[in-house]
Amino acid sequence: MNRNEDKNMDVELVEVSHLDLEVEGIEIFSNMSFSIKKSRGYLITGPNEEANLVLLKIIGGIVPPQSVHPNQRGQVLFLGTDIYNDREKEIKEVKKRIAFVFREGTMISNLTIRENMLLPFLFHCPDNNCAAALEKIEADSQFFGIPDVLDKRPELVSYCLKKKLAYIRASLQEPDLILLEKPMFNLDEEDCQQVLYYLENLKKNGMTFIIASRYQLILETLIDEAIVLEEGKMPNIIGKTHKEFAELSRFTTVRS
Amino acid sequence: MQSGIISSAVSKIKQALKDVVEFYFFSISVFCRIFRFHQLKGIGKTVLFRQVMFSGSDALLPISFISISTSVLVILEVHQIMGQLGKGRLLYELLVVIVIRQLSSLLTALVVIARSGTSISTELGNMVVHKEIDLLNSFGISPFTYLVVPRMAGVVVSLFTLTLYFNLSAVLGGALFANIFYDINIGLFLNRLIRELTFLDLFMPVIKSVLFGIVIGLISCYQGLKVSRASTEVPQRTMRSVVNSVVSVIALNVGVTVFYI
Repeated sequence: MNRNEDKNMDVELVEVSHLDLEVEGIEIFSNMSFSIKKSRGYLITGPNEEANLVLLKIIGGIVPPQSVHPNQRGQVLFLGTDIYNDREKEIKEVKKRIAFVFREGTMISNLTIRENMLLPFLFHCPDNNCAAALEKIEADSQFFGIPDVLDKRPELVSYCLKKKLAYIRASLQEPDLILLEKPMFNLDEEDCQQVLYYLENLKKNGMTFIIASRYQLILETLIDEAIVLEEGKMPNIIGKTHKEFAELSRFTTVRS
Repeated sequence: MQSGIISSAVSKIKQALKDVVEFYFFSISVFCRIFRFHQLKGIGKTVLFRQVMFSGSDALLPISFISISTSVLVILEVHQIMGQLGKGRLLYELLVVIVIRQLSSLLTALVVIARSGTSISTELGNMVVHKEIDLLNSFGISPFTYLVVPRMAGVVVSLFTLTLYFNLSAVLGGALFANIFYDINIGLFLNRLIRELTFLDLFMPVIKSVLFGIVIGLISCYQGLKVSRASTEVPQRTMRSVVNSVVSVIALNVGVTVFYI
């Protein structure tokens, strides 16, 4: 199913069920279930930052869910496909439609930036022409004011550039879901505005966001609902009423 | 006091057994992934090519030096014992048994462990620390298929080719040395050496180099990927990878020799 074929906002993109999480022996949540609707922005927040980031990685298919209950197993379904337990071919199809941007704008160190940018694209669509992808990279690089660094190794460019390049790479395959781990980390105020504008445009095109961040501007521009994780409490999913979001401000800061 | 020592020994044995079991399952997963390597198409071939170039072509110089030195040492020692070099069969028998059958694959494996094994475990360990493995997982690319299989295959191909090269340069270097210092005709030297060669002498280094390559590749990748988060773990894991590889290669060398003799 193509993202553009179905823009129905009520479609449940991700279903998380019966998740447990312990961080350093402390139970953060138990038997947690919630769903993520298409074309909306979600914030994962709470006092324990490690827990927020782990939940993001569980949803992104990076850290498998573990259960402290022997007869119960946590599950993450992406449009009905269990991203940890289904066949590899199906998981590959799912991963094609999910993009993850790491806090540091992580890249594979032994590849050039060009190879890094094209790696997921060539893996998922090996028969596609790279020219179109390179054109998009060039156009988006111009938007961000990134100089021609494609033939350099990642360690030779700044963290800020790497992060912007990671956003371009994430949007290259036009995924349904983008997960952002501290999206404004390593960016100055001007870069934050640029990135926010870029992400807002992606959201307008129907992409869904799940974000672990404490940056207040994100809350105001990209977020429709928030998943609040507090130790010893059931996760609280709140909508975007003024009062509810005012409550969230205790977890957010002006910079993150 | 005694019970403390016993319990510590028991826990060490348990840990060692756990490591062996984990390594076994790791190896099984890698072998299963070999058949999926073609799915990576172009991106996988690049990694394989780079690994072969690094492990193979860049190691030619040290291998040349070691092989010629080994051959020269055997000739010098035989000359010391026999006095009249080139008249008996002993020199050629010893060159075949010591250099071609035993040392060629073993010394090549040690060079590959020192260069490629250490670099593989360091590289993979740093990739774990810098979340590059997580990044590959987020793309849906299996680190086993993309990182481990081409590295292991690269080490096997390089070790096999380097062993052949070791033998060739040892024989030619030895012939040249014997010609310059003991006035033995190069053609005669080569002719008598070839006469001493049996099928087993040619087959054993080939089998050994393939087995050593698999073991070095697997151990280096396993130790590299065992790094959890801290960069301080990387040198520790690299050290373990070297020790385990050297011990395994020597044990395998003995095993293969016992099996064939």
